[in-house]
Amino acid sequence: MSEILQAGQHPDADQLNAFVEHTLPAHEQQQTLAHLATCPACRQIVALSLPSAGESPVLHPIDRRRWFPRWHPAWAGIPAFAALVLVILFVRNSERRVHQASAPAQIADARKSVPPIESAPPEVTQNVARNVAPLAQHANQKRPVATQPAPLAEARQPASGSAGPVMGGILGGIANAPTQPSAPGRWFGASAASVGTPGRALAADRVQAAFSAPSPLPSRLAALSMASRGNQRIAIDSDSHLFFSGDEGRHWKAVPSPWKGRAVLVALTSRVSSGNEAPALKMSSRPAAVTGAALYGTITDQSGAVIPGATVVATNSTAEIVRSAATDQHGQFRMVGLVPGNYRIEAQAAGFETESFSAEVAPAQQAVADVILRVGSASQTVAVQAQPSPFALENSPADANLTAKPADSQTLSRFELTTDGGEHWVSADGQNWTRQ
Amino acid sequence: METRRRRLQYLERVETTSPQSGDLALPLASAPQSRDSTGHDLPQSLLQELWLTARAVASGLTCDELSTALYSVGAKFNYGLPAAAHPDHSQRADFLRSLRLEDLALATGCVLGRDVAWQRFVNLYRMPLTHAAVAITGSGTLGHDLADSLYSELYGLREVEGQRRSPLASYSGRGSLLGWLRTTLAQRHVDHHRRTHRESPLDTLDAPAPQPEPAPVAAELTGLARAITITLESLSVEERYLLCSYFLDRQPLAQIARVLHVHEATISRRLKRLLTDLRKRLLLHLQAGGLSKRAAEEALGNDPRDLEINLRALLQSSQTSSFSKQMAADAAAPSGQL
Repeated sequence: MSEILQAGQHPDADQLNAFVEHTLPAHEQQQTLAHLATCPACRQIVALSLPSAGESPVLHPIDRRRWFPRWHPAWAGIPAFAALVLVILFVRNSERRVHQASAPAQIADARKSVPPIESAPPEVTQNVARNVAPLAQHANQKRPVATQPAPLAEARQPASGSAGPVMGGILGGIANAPTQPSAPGRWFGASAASVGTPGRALAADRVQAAFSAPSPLPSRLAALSMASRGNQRIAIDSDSHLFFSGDEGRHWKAVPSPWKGRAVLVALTSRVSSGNEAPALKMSSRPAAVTGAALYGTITDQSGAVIPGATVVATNSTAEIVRSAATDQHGQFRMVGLVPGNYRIEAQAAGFETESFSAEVAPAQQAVADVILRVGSASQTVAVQAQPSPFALENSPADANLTAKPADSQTLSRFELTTDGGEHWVSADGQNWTRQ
Repeated sequence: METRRRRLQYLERVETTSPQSGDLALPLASAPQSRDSTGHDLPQSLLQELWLTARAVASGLTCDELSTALYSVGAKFNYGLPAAAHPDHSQRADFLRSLRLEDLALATGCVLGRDVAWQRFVNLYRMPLTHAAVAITGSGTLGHDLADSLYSELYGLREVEGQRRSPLASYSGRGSLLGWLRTTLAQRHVDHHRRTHRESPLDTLDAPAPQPEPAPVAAELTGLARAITITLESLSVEERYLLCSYFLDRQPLAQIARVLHVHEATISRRLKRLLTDLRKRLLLHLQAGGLSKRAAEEALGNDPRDLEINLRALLQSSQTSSFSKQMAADAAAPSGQL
């Protein structure tokens, strides 16, 4: 019992503490409670002896060894390392998204921009197909292309004439006729390249590339490249399958692929022929791998068949320079090392009318001119105004600028497909393909 | 047998001789009262287990010294059983295992004056003791003074009949040592308050004020006062404790709940139920006194200040003897009545 406070009358500290901690046997608990009910002093002691909320309990030292060591400064590296890993993953994921969004357009543009003739001999006649291989290789190299997304977008903007945020591949920059903007609200961006007489622009001829919008293709894969003509559309998904739609993309069907390898690009080739058909000029900027400008293209008849042995003559009246080239078995011709200036170009073949047009070739630029000759004898003058370069490449500051004076012409276009092996396939209806 | 012989020697030294230098004797109250009657011989395996659990080496205790202390505690409290019961071996073992053995070993080591025990006590409890004293007194200065005075008292500076006595000897290990220290601090603080405020005692701590001159009261009030008295006297221990703590001491519900080891909401429900039950009992007593039900309810509506009863004294009036007498009566009662 307590020796200080009413000895003999009250429970001692040991008893009260055991009561508070509820360690007394039941009979002692009742006795203590009965005393507390009648003793305000002991109730006060009990109330005071309750531990306060902030009072820390006594912790006896434990000899057991901890399973983990004490704090070490190196531990700070763990969250830092984790944060670094997270940042790297985030950056890589962001880059991947950017690649997925921009790769189709870049591949489409790359075909037009990469010079395949760095090692080309000065001969005008040359097999263009042989030089397509570097193009395909370049198209497959997504990373170097994607490292310059900003210049691509900047250069593509004026060429398209439309406000599409992400543009697809651009058909040759022939734009004598006004370019019509793409339809608003569509799920793809579009850039129009028109060839033809004034007032008869190829508004429906567009080359589009898919971007990050939900894919409408039956495969549910992202569209790698897309081209449309009127209500017809063809598209390549990321698995290189070709799809065709005849109702503006509402219904798609798969197109069997006769080519070997993977299809990487679809485009629309526009042709302008005189009279009923105006000669089509497909302009694109090429990196200035060679000194001076270059001109190449394909000579075909009205049915689309190539004309081997056709002669193309480029005359610079100012510099008194005349260059000529003959088409090969594929109907293709090439002129390199042209002195920049104003040229008059004439294409002629036996049994066909002579097509002529004037062109202004800018330094370090290359122009693509696909000419369709009509059977018979007639003369045609086409003025071609080249669009600014869709690619702002490092060593090609100047834009190609061809000016042609179109006559009465009619627009024709066909779909063109490029595989990763460099093959070119063309189709008039988007479903039946022939190798070019 | 060697253990028993050493224990007997120790007990003889505690009870009959003065402590050696640096040693403090266990108080007589904690010595075994009836060594032979309780059959205190504990199995060696149990002692070894308890000795290891108590980490007695850290307190400078030998196994014999610890077993002696355990035996003293067990004999004092009859191993947790009522006094008339005879604990068997398992009951004794259960009681001893339920003790705070490490705290008990430390307190025993301090009582015996072991330096290692005191060093450990200071390391473990010096700061908590001061913090508890500050919390109890509500003042830093008073708290430090209170803690220092208790600390010196614990060390055995106080002498009784020429022997140094440490209050730690009264620690039984049934509760935590820190709780015991806190309760002792509260005891000292209340005792100090009673001594220093004796000139103006609180009515809660002293006898009720003298009754004023009795004034003629209505028979209705007299019956009400009688009913209240009978009703309050019939309250159980816990009900009385609840009313006193809540209405007289004005303790919050949470504090009462902590003392009784129940939830605060439980205390609230019990109080509400108790008040409802009190009203019913009062009505019954009033009706038993000859009032109709309506008259009884009207009687309950009287101003309690008109009643000539001291509710505080009535609630706190003990119908039994003091606590020590209760314990003594409990010990003398046959086990079947408990």
